[in-house]
Amino acid sequence: MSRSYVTIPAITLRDDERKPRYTGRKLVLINRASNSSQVISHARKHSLRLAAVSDFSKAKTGDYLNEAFRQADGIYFDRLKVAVINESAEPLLKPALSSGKQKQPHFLFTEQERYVYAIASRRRASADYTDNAAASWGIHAMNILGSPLKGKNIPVAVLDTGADTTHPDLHPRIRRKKTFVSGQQVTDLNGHGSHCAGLAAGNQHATRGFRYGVAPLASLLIGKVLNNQGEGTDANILAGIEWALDNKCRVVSLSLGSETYEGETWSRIYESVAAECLKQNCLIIAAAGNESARAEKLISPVAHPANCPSIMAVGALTANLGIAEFSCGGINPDGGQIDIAAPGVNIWSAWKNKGYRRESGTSAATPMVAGLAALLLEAEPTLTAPALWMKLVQTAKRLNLPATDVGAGLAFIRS
Amino acid sequence: MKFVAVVSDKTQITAIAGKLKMLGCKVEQVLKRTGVITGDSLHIPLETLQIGGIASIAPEQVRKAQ
Repeated sequence: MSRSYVTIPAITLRDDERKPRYTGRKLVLINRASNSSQVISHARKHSLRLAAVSDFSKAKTGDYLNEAFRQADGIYFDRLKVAVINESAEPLLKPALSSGKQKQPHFLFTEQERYVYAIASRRRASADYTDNAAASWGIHAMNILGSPLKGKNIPVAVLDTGADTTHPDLHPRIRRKKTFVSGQQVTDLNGHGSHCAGLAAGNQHATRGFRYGVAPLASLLIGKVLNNQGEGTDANILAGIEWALDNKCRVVSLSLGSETYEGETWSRIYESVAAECLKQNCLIIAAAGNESARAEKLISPVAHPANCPSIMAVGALTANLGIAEFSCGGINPDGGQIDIAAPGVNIWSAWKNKGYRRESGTSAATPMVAGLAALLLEAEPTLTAPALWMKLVQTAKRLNLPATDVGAGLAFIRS
Repeated sequence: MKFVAVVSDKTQITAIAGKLKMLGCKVEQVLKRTGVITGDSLHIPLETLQIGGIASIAPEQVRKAQ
C-alpha cells in the first residue's frame, strides 16, 4: 500500500525561550480495556506498524527505543497503555482514531509528544538576570516590565547629592528641586544623586529606549542634602524630609547614612521624624549600608537612619539574587532589621554631566524600592503609608536567604 | 556644639525653640512638620538643653552617601 506523506512542522519553538517544545511525534492514549494483540491488530488494519516495547526492552543497550522506531511506525507501551507514533506515520493515525464506532475504541485520543528539560533549581534559574536591550537586570528581576504601571504623577523625593537637572532622562521628571547645602546649587557634581534619581524615576534612556528607572512617570523632587563630596549633616537631611512633607511627597528615598555598631540602638530623633512621616502618609525608604565584608565573614549592622523601626531598610542583591558582599545585615537584636532587598550590584543609571554609569551599593537598591512604591501608589492611590509598607513586604518575592539579610525578599511587582 | 532635637508635641515647637534661644542657643531650623529643631548650643552642654517638651536631643552628625 502506498503511503502519502504530508509535511508537518516537526518542531514548534516557544517564543520565550528558544528550546523546541514538540518532537513532531504523537502520543496516543490506548483504552485500558484493550489488550496488546487487539491494539496491534487494530493498528495493522490501518497500516500502522506498532512495535510493543516489551519486545525490545530486554536489549542490553539503551538504544532500544530508537531501534523500535526504526523498525516500526511507532512504539506501544503496553503497561502504560500509551503509544508513540512517528511523525511520518501521522497521516495513518487519524483513520485509526476515527474508526471509533466500534463498541470498544482502542485508540482514545492523541497529543503532541513534548521535549522535556531538566528544571534548573530556583536559585540557578534566577541567576540569569542580565541587562538586555529592553531593560537593566534589576528591572527584569523586579518584574517591572510585567506591569503597565509607571508611577504616574506620584511625588517621590530623592534626598541626596542633588541631580543633573539637565540630564535628558531626568529633566522631564523633575517637579521641584531645592538645595539644603550651603554654597552649593542643587546640580549634582558628584553623580551619586543622579544615579539614585534615575533608578527611582528616571525616564528610559533618551535615545536607546532602555528602561532602568522603575517609575519613569513619577514626579521627582530633588533635595540636595549631601554636598558634592557625598557628605551631609543631620540638619540638612531633616530639613530635606520636612520639605518633602511640605510638598506632599508619598515616598522619600534616602541613599545615605552612617555606620552603626553592634548593640547600638536607633536614633530617637529620626525615629520620631519617620513615625511622623508615616502619620502624614509618607514612607521613608533608606539604604541599609555597605559596611559588610561578607567574604571575610564580617556582617555590619544596618546603618543609621535605616535602622529606625519606622524607616524601611533596604539590602542589596546580586544579579543571581544572592546577598551583596557589602550589604549590611539585621544583626542588632534591638531594631535595625532589613525589611526588603532589591538589585544593588552593577546597576546602570544616569550620572552627572548627562552621563550614565554602573554603580553598586544599597544606595542603588533603595531608589528602586522607592520607584516600586510609586507604582503601587499609582495602582492604589488611597494606600496609607503603613499600608504601602505592608504591600511592599507582602508582594516581595521570597528568597532562600536569611531574613536578617533580605527581610521579606526581593522587591517585586506582581503582573 | 551643633545639635538636633525633636519635641514631644509639635504644636509647642515654636515656644520650645524660644526657650532654647533664651538659654543661649542659636536656633537654626524649626521644622514644624517633623517636630525637629536644629541649631548650635555654643558652649552649653546638651544635657542642660533637655528641657520640658524636648523628647530627645543629640549632637548633629555627618552622614554619607551609601
